[in-house]
Amino acid sequence: MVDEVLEMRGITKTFPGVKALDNVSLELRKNEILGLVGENGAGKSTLMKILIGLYPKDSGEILLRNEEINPKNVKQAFDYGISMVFQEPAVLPNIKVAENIFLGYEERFLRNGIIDWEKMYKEAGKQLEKLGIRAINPKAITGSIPFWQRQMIEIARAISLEDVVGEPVIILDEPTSSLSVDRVNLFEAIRKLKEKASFIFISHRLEEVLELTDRIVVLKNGKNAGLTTTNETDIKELHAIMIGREREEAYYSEDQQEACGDEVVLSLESLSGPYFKDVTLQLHKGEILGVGGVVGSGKSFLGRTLFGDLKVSGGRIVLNGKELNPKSASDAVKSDIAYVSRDRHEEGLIPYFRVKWNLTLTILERLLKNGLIDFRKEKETANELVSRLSILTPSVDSLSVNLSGGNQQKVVLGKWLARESKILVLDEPARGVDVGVKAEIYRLMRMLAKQGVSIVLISDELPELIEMSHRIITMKDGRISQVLEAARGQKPSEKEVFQYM
Amino acid sequence: MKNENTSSGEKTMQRDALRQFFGSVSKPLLLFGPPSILVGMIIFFTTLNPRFATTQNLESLLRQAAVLSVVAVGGTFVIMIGSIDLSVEGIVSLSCIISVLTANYFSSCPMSGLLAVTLTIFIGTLFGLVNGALLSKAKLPSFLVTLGTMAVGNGAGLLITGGYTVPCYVASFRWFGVGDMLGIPSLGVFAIIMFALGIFLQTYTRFGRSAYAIGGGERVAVMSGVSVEKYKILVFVLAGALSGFAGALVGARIGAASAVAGSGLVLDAIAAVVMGGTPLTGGVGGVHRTIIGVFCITVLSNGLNIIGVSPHMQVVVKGIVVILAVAASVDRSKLPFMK
Repeated sequence: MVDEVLEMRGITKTFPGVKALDNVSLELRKNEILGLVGENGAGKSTLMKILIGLYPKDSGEILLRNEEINPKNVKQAFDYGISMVFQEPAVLPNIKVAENIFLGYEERFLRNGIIDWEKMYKEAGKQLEKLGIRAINPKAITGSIPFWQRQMIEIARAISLEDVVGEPVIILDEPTSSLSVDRVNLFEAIRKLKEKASFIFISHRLEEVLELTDRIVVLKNGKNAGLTTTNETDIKELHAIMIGREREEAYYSEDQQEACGDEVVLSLESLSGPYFKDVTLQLHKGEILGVGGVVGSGKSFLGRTLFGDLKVSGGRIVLNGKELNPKSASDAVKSDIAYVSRDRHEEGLIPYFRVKWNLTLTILERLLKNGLIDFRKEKETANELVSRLSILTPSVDSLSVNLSGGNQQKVVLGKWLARESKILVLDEPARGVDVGVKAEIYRLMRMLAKQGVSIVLISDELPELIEMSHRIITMKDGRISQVLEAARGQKPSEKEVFQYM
Repeated sequence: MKNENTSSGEKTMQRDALRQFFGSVSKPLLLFGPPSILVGMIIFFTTLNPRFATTQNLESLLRQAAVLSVVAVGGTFVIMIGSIDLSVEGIVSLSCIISVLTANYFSSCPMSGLLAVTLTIFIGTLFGLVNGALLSKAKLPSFLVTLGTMAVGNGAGLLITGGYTVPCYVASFRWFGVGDMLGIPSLGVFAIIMFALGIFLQTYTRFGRSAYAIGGGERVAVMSGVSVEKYKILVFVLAGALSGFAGALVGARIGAASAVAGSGLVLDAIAAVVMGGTPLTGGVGGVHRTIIGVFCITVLSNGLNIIGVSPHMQVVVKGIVVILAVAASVDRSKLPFMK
């Protein structure tokens, strides 16, 4: 007999102008890890937000352990044992680990109106042990511990409900999408907790979904599109269900990869900087050079140092034969280097700026006529970029906030296209963007490479790294561990690349 | 017990909910809020005392607004980049004193007024440079830096005058404060010129666009190659120069060098900027909004005077109004947005 811990039936939710969910159903079995996938806009977030009590549903039922529930807010959902763990660790940095784990439930530790700290620390330690983690000190101030540990605390918080409610339902929303996730530890913790809880795992990374889950629910355009058992399906099939057609090869436009020239445009000679040492490599004209490595390998720091955002501590950067010493980002920009950060939130585009302003932020001096901004040129440039990148926006005067994630990312790329930089350092350029826009970004990269632009592609996604690059450099502990060729038709396998990471 | 779970995902949800609410409320609020408050106040005061709406009072109002206008234009840019300039009072007081003393010293020269004003603009610029450099290069918070320079300005002023006021009868200088150009009080003309300058700078120049960028997303601006350090300094230089000019105007208007010439200007200036619609976090708004804010503050002061409210009570009322205004000017830029 199959044990269902959670059932969502016939959930419908309409927002003004858009039907986000149309009669969607989902079943979570006891002690299973259920994958929830779909393009951006498919409805996964909305469905989970309803479950967690944030949005009211228009119709349908939610049954928890066969009893109907209707959580009106997050606290209520939490009291039922349903909690969500988010992309960025939702923990307060200024308080202790134990306090974060029991945030909102401090009354459990009250003794005569005063908190029994020793008891809290002990309890916290117990929860952490459930995850198999002994390295986290419950008394440590949360802000001082490494990122991946903060994520663990959130999970500990979710699992602590076990002592209050019974088997919790834990929703993991893109837990591997943020900046420095320790996937190994995370997955291990989840597997360990499987016997005490049931998980819903939302992710864009289909390889991970396939690795971790037991079954997979696919949503498309607010409707159920498919339900499979994990070990009976593969990426290709999931993609096909998600976006409605087979797109695997065309996705990365591998057929568009042309051999790059011999001309070396950028050369790093024993370059050292924060968290990396002794990096020597050459970037050729029209080449896409992939840089891979696990968290802590230093690859993102390398990218930033090239852009002048971090200080060089040793070695040289040689650009087109001349030594380069960027003291700041504006130096790098002037030398025709562009940088797209993996942190679109903080370093991508300015929210309350109009699209045309964000697009021209890098070329202000070129917009000047008699020392003043030429508005006509500004609009023309912006319109041209919007059309070239197929950016969906009501107009170039619209506020950038209002664009979807994928289109925002296009704007970020657009501002560098405006600059016509010859070297692009891209750090996870297709992160958190839906499948359709991802493919567009890859096509754009191919086109730029063909036009002679050189790209350094820093990425955590192995398939992306392998498919897109001409050559792949792997970094480990701050040093280059291997250089691999990845010519068209002769791509290395993921295993081959991963062994050097 | 209250659940203070503000996880980032919950934050996202809260953002969405907040954004939905404020999106529908804040745009009209920002657009029509300040002007309606202004109109409301005018109606209120006129009803209580019809003397408020006489040409005489309006002229007086305009004069009162003028000095604040000059300072507020500079203040707008400072707040636009997310900083604050407390040194206004110090610069204004010191400039007032120096301009009067200079005018008196060169009283025989016909250009003494112009000389005095130029000198104070120069001094204001220097202060601004110091402010900007400490903020930008030494990375000290603007609050502390300008607090310090304010003290220096005030102190220098007291040092020079010894606490006494020095009268000034030099016509070429007094003209700046009490004269007129083609029938319009010169103070008014200067205020109009400064507003025009401010609007021009913010809309048509790289300087203005960069100021918006720094306020709207400093990190993004840095990573896009904008010379953020340079523009931060320039913003403070502008604010300093304008404060210097304002100090000379005060001196010319009251006809005396007073070490407390700048008193209360900081509160008024910041209030004017924020009430107008440039939130303290910067990135949005501008001088065109500050114009309304300046009039709101001036009408408030003038109106309270006319209906007989004591000066002390006025300060209390102003403070309350400012708090309400700041609360109402929703910090949209503080609401995260990205997906």
